[in-house]
Amino acid sequence: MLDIKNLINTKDGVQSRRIFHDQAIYDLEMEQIFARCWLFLTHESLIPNTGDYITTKMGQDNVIVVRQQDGKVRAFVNSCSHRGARVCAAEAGNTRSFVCSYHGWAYGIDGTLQGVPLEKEVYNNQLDKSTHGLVEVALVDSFCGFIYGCFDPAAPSLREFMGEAAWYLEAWMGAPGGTELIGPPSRSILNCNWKTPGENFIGDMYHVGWTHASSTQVLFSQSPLMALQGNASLPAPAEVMGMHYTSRSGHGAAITYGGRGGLYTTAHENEMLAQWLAEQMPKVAERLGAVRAKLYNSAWDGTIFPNNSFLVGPNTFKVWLPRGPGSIEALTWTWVEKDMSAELKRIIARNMNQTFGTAGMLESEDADNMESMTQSNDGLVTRRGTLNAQMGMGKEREDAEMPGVVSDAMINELSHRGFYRYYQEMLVAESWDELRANSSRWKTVHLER
Amino acid sequence: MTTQHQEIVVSREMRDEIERFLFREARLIDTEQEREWLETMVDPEIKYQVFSRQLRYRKDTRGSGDKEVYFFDDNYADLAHRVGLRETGTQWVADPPNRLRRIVGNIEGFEGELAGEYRVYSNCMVTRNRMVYEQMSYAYGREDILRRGADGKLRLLARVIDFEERFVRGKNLLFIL
Repeated sequence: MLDIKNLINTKDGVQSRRIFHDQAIYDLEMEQIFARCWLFLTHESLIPNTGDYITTKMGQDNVIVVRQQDGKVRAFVNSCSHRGARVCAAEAGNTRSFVCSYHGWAYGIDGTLQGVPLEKEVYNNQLDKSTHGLVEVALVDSFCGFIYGCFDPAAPSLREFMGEAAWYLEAWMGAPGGTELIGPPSRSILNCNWKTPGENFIGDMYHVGWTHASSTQVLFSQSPLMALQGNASLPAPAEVMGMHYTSRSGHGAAITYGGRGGLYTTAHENEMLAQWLAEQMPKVAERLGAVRAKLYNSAWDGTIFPNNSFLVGPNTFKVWLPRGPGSIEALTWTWVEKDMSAELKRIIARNMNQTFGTAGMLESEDADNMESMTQSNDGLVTRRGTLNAQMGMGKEREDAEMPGVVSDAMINELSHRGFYRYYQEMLVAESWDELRANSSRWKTVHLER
Repeated sequence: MTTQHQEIVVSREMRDEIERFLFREARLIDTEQEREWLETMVDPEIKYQVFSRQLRYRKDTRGSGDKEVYFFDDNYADLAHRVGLRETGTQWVADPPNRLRRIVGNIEGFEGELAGEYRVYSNCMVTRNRMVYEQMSYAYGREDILRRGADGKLRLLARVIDFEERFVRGKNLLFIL
């Protein structure tokens, strides 16, 4: 019997291993999380003009995201209302219509059914086209140019869903000149559960020195992160090096102070970025204050619940698309600041792909862990056990300036615990009202010891 | 792959030399002798690129944004980093060792645009075995430029691979293609 209320114990920092294996839990995740939460779709910069579109997935639902005549962005399920074939086979482009490849039903970019071949002859004009449009994604909105969609019309606004994480994310997503993604994404398969890379990115700085021992040694010789190599010692107390945050809806990150620069392999590239950051810091401080200017200049690894992860420093932006309990598709973009020079953007994209792209040196090191973390739970006895995310317990606190719950150590598992706290709530909650009822006391489980 | 330049087929002797070059390269890479490959077969001015094209409709010329993403856009120093990783002894993904095996075929050699340069096309089938259960295979075409150095030896000056598999089922491309 599946007891979903006891999969996660946030107070003690433990999780059932079954969440990485059971088909029944996966099916529940699709229903309770992916059909209800805001999910990353694309960036404003990738579909700037009327008729520009991309295709992607929300959970396992195929969707088209398209810029409308009025400049707004809408999203539709990529499946013909006649017999269900897809209406768009391309990944991106510009169009006036989406035409089903099966019988030629044609839809406008607003999702309405506009053309039915031989309509008069075979339907005797009795087909009601007005009720046969593409199924629309209920909510589409953007945060600092990053576009998210949500299937549930009752869901809170994107801003409310971002919650306290918005304050942090604005430090880099809301850079003075704005941000953009460099497309197209690379796309690769990983034989892992969708949560394993999400929990890795949400704040696992512990693995950097070990999993990436060889690449930190070879690639990061000019970065403070080099000191983590081999997990033998820290260059400064973890409390001094950085922090963790978690937020109401499970979004979180690890932040390593001052670590954004120095991650590239040549002095020239590092100097170019350092100069850029030095120019921007006063502007960020003026707009957002001194604390967020410090965060802007930091290295981050974070996840936006449920399946959207990012790094600041390597500037990777990822979405983990579930394909069943043991498989995902990873989509990877580079993010840059819009008003950077073309050369600096190229340097960032080149370094991002060398580290976290399909041939990325760090990406492949992570993948083996993501997969074995998943596959070990194929064992019946193995998956009876629980997993440990207790690091940093007892150090959580609230801060006068920084929202959510924070902890003063960047090697920490606070953000893991926050991710799984919200995960459990979403699996159990029957309505958003039920979730909102917990909103005034969500911090308690992290703070009370 | 396009061939806009005038195609002058190389001599039989030259073709043999190109073939020996590609076969030796395959053997060195597949037997963990990448350092030997880098130092004896790669030109210091190497430009090594592997890219993937986003799938768009043939008639669509108006879509926004870049249409390719570069998995590799490496110079000599970048390739040296990749080769150096395994030599650290702490690259866990290569331990136990990965086993690579490649077939290189459809080799065509043409005179290059500059004297001492050769434009070479080849197709590759690579199988990578690793970690007890994993077997992955990759097929791709290569467009290379080989250049004869002052020492009389051929070296790889440029490689471009237009990688056809859009959704990479073999997880990653962490090997010399």
